[in-house]
Amino acid sequence: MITKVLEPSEVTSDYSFKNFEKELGEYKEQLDAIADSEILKRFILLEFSELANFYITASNKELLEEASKKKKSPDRYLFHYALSKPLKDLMLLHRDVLLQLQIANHKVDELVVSKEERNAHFLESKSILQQALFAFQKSIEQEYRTIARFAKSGKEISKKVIHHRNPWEVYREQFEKILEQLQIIETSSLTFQKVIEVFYSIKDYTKLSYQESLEQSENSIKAIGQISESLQGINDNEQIPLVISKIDAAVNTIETPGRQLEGFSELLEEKIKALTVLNFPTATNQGMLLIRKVDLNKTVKKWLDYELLPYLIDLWDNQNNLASFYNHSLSNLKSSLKLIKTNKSLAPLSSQVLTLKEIENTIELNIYKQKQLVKEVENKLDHQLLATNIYGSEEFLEVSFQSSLTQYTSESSGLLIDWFNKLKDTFNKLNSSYEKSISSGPDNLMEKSVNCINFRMVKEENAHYDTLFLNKNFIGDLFIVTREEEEAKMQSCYKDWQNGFNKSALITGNNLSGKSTFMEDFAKKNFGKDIILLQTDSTITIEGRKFKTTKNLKEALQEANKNIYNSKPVLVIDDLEYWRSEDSSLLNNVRALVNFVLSESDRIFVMVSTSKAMQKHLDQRLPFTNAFTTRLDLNKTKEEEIFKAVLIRHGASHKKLVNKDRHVMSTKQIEHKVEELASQFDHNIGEVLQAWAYSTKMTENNLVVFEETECDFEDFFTSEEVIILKYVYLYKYVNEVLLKSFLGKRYNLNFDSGIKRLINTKVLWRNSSGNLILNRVITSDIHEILKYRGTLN
Amino acid sequence: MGSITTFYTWHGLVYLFLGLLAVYGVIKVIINIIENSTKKNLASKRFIFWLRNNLFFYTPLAVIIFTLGFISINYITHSILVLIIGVFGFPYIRNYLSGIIFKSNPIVSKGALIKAENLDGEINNLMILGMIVNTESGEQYVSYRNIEESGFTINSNKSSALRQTIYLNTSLGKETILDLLFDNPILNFDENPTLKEGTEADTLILKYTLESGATTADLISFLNAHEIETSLTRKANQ
Repeated sequence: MITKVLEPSEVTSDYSFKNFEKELGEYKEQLDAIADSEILKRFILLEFSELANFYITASNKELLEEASKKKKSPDRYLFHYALSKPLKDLMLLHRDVLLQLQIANHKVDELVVSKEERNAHFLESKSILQQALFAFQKSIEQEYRTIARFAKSGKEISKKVIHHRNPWEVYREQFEKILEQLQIIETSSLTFQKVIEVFYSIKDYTKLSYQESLEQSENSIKAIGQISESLQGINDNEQIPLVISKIDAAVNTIETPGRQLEGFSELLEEKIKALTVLNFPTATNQGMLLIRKVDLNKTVKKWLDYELLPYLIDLWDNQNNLASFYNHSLSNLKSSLKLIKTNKSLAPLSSQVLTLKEIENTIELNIYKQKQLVKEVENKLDHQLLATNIYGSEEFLEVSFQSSLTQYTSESSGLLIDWFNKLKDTFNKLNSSYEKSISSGPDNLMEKSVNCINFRMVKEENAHYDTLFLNKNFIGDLFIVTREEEEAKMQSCYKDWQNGFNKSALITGNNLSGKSTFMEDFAKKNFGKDIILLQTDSTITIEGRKFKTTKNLKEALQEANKNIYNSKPVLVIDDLEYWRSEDSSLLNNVRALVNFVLSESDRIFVMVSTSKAMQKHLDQRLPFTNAFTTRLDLNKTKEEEIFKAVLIRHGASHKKLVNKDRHVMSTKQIEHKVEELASQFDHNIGEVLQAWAYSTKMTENNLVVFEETECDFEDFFTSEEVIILKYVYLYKYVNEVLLKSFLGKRYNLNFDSGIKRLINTKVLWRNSSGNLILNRVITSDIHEILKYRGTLN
Repeated sequence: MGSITTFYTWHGLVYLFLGLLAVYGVIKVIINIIENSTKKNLASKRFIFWLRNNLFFYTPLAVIIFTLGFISINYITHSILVLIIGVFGFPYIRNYLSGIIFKSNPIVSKGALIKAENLDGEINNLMILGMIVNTESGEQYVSYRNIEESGFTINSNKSSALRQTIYLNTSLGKETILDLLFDNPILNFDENPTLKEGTEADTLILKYTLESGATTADLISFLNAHEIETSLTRKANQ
């Protein structure tokens, strides 16, 4: 409500000074009775302005009388000359008191000061007013005495100011201004209340949003605790599904919050809209009222963006990470439990319980972190987001230069240092590898290579971890990382086939590039049980009928063709190279396959895998590649897919990955390592996983140490050995008899010793069927060497 | 212009010489570093080959630039001087340039069997103005100029594989023989063996490339095991 303080007084028609004095006396009495700051405020606004208006009206009247040349009265002297100045002081003091009372009220509203403090402030204000009134009355008495003195000496008081110009008009203007200021102060109070409300709603909203986050985290730790309990209670294989269902339930309760920032900012924006550019009287300086102009909308927005949001974003990030960590850990636990169930051994359970404890610890640690952040946010909200700070001498809602700057510097200088370090690393690497190669003569090349093979071979103590990475068929669907691009290509091929086109797929790729896994996954996804996996020397069942295969692909294909009546199956031939024997050469088998593919692929979807080198070799003799409608090269896997594969496997181990100095590696660091390995192994996913396995070492306290391979596999082969290696690389296996058949009598001269040396150095392995195969830990090195020697293109 | 005018002085010439030498040194060092430090792969091998070739041609280029710098100091006197040296040294210079082109030929290397007019033997050493060849009569010095004029044949070479010919006598069909050869690792898979009918019945001409490390004897032994008779000369089985 706005009080009109500038109305001429109409209470009385008697504007004599006596009357004014009476009013003043009444005013003073009333003031003494006031016991509340709010009432005092209203009292000043109403009663004091009334008093001031009385004075103004009275003085105006006197001025009119002066103009009409009426007789000069002592009243005119008193109003115009003697008391204007003291009254002006009194008015200014009242204005100041009013402003301070208002500020105190706002501060109480924002809980910056207590009500008791406000009371004390009120009492002091009141007493100041009382003193001032008293002094004013004193000066009236003083003036009376002056008038009496003049009267005594027979002079009129007007003689005293006879040479003065009447100052009233100037005073009147000032008095009106002061009264106007009173009104400004009163009006601003209302808008200020609104600002306080908006600030409150911002605070409430922010608090609500982080409290939800905290609650979720607390819930997740409870859930983990429960699972841990039921895990410890397992003593029978049959109880595992029960725990698994519990885990599922726990996963469902926690949702990943997703992108909270956008919703939050939008709602805040809505609230801030109410704020505009406002003028607030904030202080007084002598006669002047200081008004502060603040663009609240802009200031508040900026403050939120720079001071509050960074903390909230941290908080949400942490919460997001925590939620995905929680989900990931639980799904890992689930897959491990499934594994335990299939293996029917409860022994690994205890390590799972241990892992759960660790997960619990991690979550607790993060909750602590979240709480710290919340504390910081609360601190900011309580001490900085205050409308009454506008009354302070500091900048309102100041965004410290630091906070907008630190971010920038940490980013930019980090980049520079990063670059510098990279340069240094490269130089050091070059230097050390140069020295190494200079210092090592050709004599110890073989020794070095043997050491390298030894280093890379699977070690018993790491078996638990390594099997996750090396086992080709362990896997299960949980460990498969979909190769999206290739999958999409295959899907479109499959769709065409379903629509009646003759379609067949040739999957090429180097060793370990994931051909078999890809084909198996694709076949399972699209054909369910209608899969014919054609393998040498095995028993194949088609539509209930069984037949045996040899190494003759022609026969096997004829058998398969005969037995397929009702279904439209997929025929998978993994590693075409194995289909060869003395009786049926690879070429003949491939010819049979090509014929089969060309004639039968409308009802049987054929998928064949072979290496790129073999594909090229076969193409030189017959139109092999052209027989297939779809050709996929799986050699290179995308970096993020490799990274995902590593993470899934590592996650399933429930171990902590640390670097050489036993510092825990962050996801970013792991990603970096994977990137390095990927580029080293030409993005061959299997090679990277294998390299990961041999670069890691288990230690006793559930840690996995990542140490970079210090060993290089060197080319120590003679030309004869290279010929043998070329054959093994292309044809997958070799044996002495086979080699003899290529060389006749001359085999004994050079090649016999060569093959023995390769076996002794474990470059070649003898498998259960007596054939020699390439040691898988050095496939990529052998590939490189063969390319370098010009044997393979 | 400032930088060019400095070459008109003896000081400039010294700087030019040092600069040219530095470039030569840098290329040498790069070759050395790549050869000894990085992992051996195809790309670095090709790069080194390319650098080596460049270095061959860089040397005469540097000499020409240096000579031009020398002439520009006082072009009348110095060009007369260079001309005199050129006239007297012409055969050597020509020989040197022929040597560069000869050595940059990828099939030429130490240990290769070379055949040319009045020459048959193994290359022993490749020098600046000529090479030393082991012949039946002893070590023979051959200047590059002579070789370039008469042309030459490289019979075999230790590192790079060469196309060879053998004559077969068999009743087996062409395709069957090619199928037989398909799996054999001693043949270079990138360069397919080809078979042509010979002039006589049952005679086939096989052109093939062996892997280094394998010998024709290995192949003959393989073919004989499959009842294919062979001859290194045109008339098989006679």
